[in-house]
Amino acid sequence: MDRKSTSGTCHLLGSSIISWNSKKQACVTLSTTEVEYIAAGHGCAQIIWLKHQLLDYVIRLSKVPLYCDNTSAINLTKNPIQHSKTKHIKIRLHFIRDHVQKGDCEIKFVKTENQLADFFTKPLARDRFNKLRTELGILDIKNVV
Amino acid sequence: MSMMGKLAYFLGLQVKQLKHGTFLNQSKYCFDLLKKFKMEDCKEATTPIATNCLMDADEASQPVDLTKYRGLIGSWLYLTASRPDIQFGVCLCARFQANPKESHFKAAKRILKYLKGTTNVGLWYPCDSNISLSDFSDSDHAG
Repeated sequence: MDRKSTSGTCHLLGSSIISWNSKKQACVTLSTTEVEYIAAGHGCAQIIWLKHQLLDYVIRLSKVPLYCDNTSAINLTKNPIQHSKTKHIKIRLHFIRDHVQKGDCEIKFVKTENQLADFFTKPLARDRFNKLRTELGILDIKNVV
Repeated sequence: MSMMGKLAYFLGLQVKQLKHGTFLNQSKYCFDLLKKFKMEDCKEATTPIATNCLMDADEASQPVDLTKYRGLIGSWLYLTASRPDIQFGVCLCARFQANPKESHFKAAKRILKYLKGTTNVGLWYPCDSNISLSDFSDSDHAG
């Protein structure tokens, strides 16, 4: 065990999943705030790309909501102040803060129960697994036809 | 023009276009995969990864067939195009490709068992959904 965290992101257009990611993070982190912040950074980069793609279909979106279940990570994106506990977070990871201030995306809070990206970060028990799977629009052909 | 009509198969993805939406899956590929690894008659599992599954390097136990393990991961990576539900499990197993052990192979077999029960699962894109992007990000701290 090298104590590196796994980050997961998923992107939904309407009610179906169009892009997803599950990745072991490259660096060891000191707090849950920091890991969530890094994961949100990954998500933000993908949002920017998706926004550019949607421009080709003349769909212009602003303030795309990015749901995160950690309030202190959310506050970190809003308030450009350095605290002693977050001082070590690299400049690269403040990428997200920049895009929030530009209005490209907006970080919102979501309860862990409704956090769909849970699906890509940890092993889940049957009930929760099935619930999230349906919510993401991953269905059996029998339920569709 | 010999291929006319609705799109049914594209780059390995089976496409089903219905009145109220589009369904994408890779059931044929998934079925062939199970046959290739001789798991077509195995028991079914409800989730790809057990909740008590703690994966580490597991130095002490017996090594397994490297080619087979890596072949398995490779086949799955292709399948994840239409199956986000096995994404996490596949990535977890893929981390031990350099030196796979008995315990990793056991976890890998559970994914096959899960696939056995969910061969026909795929992505559903309904017609009536609105165009709005919503995104989720999450992580687990320190494994």
